[in-house]
Amino acid sequence: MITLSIFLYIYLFLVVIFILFAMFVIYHVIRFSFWGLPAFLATFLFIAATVIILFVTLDYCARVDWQQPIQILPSGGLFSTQDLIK
Amino acid sequence: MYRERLYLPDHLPNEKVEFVLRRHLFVAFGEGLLFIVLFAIPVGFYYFFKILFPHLLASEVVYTLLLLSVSVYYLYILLFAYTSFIDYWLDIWVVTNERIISIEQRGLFARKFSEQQLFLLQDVSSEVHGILATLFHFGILLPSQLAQNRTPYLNRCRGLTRLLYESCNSLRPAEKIILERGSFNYL
Repeated sequence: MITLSIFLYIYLFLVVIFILFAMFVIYHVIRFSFWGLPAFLATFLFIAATVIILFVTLDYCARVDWQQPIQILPSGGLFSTQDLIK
Repeated sequence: MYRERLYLPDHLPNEKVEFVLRRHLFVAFGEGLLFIVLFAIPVGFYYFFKILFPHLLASEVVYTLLLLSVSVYYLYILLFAYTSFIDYWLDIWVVTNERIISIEQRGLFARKFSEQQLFLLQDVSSEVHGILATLFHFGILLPSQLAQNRTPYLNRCRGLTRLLYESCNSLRPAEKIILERGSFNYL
């Protein structure tokens, strides 16, 4: 039996990797790119969309009880969902 | 306004940028379509589950796990789309009054610079193949050096020359400027 919070930690780990890569790409744009309007717009849209996705997700996450236990393998069988749905 | 700031390797004194070439927008649009499809996939799955398995989405645990998965999915698709755009944007051919510089971005961790001196060029031609290339005016620019068949060093550049300038826009103006600026010696 594990708690739901383990998935939050996995999610946060993937977000950290995403942020590292995103910073590296943005560094590329600043270092090598030729700042024209398309590059500026693409960077702006990328940052704005990232902020919106993270905001919506974390806003929802703030209302979730992360300590509730979940069962990976249901007792009724591998393909049963009866324990997962409560 | 945002002025285009060119990064030229080994900038020469009195070197002036004459022309900047990129791959045609149509090439980038093709990749953009793929990302539109990838963005639409979770929406399709959402309606699939909503119609066939509505009880799954009613569960808080399942809904939370799905939300986290979709959130990560969209973040990484967004990152790949942005990287793809940067890959397109950083592939550039700069024609200066001294040389043609090719800068190619290959993924995140590799860049390739190559250049051709204009005074070494013997000829320049352009090729347009296919219906789309004809309609949207993009093709292959082929600057060629007479010496490339004579010396082993330059011979290695021959294959690269034909690859470096593919799918570029504004073919004819570029060809004209290269012809004007180059010191062509017909031996």
